[in-house]
Amino acid sequence: MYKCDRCYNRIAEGELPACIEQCPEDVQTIGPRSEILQEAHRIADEEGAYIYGEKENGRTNTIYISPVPFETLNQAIDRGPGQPHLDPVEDKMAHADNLAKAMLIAPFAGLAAAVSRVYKATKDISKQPEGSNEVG
Amino acid sequence: MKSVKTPKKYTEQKFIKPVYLFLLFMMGLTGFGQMPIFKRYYISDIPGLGWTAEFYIKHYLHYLGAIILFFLFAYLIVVYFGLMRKSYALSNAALIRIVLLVAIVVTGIFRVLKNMPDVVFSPGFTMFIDISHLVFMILLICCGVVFGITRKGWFVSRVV
Repeated sequence: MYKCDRCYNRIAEGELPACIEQCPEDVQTIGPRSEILQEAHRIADEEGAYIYGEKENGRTNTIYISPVPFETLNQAIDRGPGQPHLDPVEDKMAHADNLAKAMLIAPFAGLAAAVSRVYKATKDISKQPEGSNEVG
Repeated sequence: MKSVKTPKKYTEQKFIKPVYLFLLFMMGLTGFGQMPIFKRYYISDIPGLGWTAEFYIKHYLHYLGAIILFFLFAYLIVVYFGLMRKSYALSNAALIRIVLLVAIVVTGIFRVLKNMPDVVFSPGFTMFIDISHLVFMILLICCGVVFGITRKGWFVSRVV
């Protein structure tokens, strides 16, 4: 079994994915995300349609346009384990992104702690008599 | 950290070894766990290790470990150059470990960047930092084992 890669090799040679080329109804277009979004909004405005994937589910790489609201579609879907849905999905990487910010601060905190440690120790040494074997 | 004559014992030397080894072990465990191996090979069925099947828990722990290590590395660099350097030189084994640790940290930073929502690297570069982060860690483990057996510590006493 292969996962669809949108005919990566064909796109590399400047061709279209086979499914887009073959589609008699011309339902798909492919291109840079910003251009596709622009096109999606143009169609949606023209036809009063709804867009899925611009903000939903962490911003998907496939943008869908539907004449039926996606909430209505979501209610009509068979539910159950392994079944897809259109519910709002939490950003699983949100916590990691926050932790990444903490990574920026951590070395400076370590630096500050160490500088105060070294400063105290050097002050103590100048006070302590010679031969002391313990610092800190 | 062992030497024949110990000139001066710093507070850090008392706790650093278990802390460092524990952190490194957890980083190794959660790092290798980014691959779905623990559930596949039934490690997560061992009582108390159920969390090793949860990708995001391992991912958060790995980030958390990186935060602690960033703090610790910055702290130790300053304390070494500010205090300990007078009494101890770094051994060759330490230098090799430091080079590997720097390589792991740098590739790790790029991996964190790659995970940010708006940062995109080329597939080749992504693969390169992925594999090199793993390879440097494997090399560090190998060095740890070899230096552990041959008893090559981090410090060489400057007091003769």
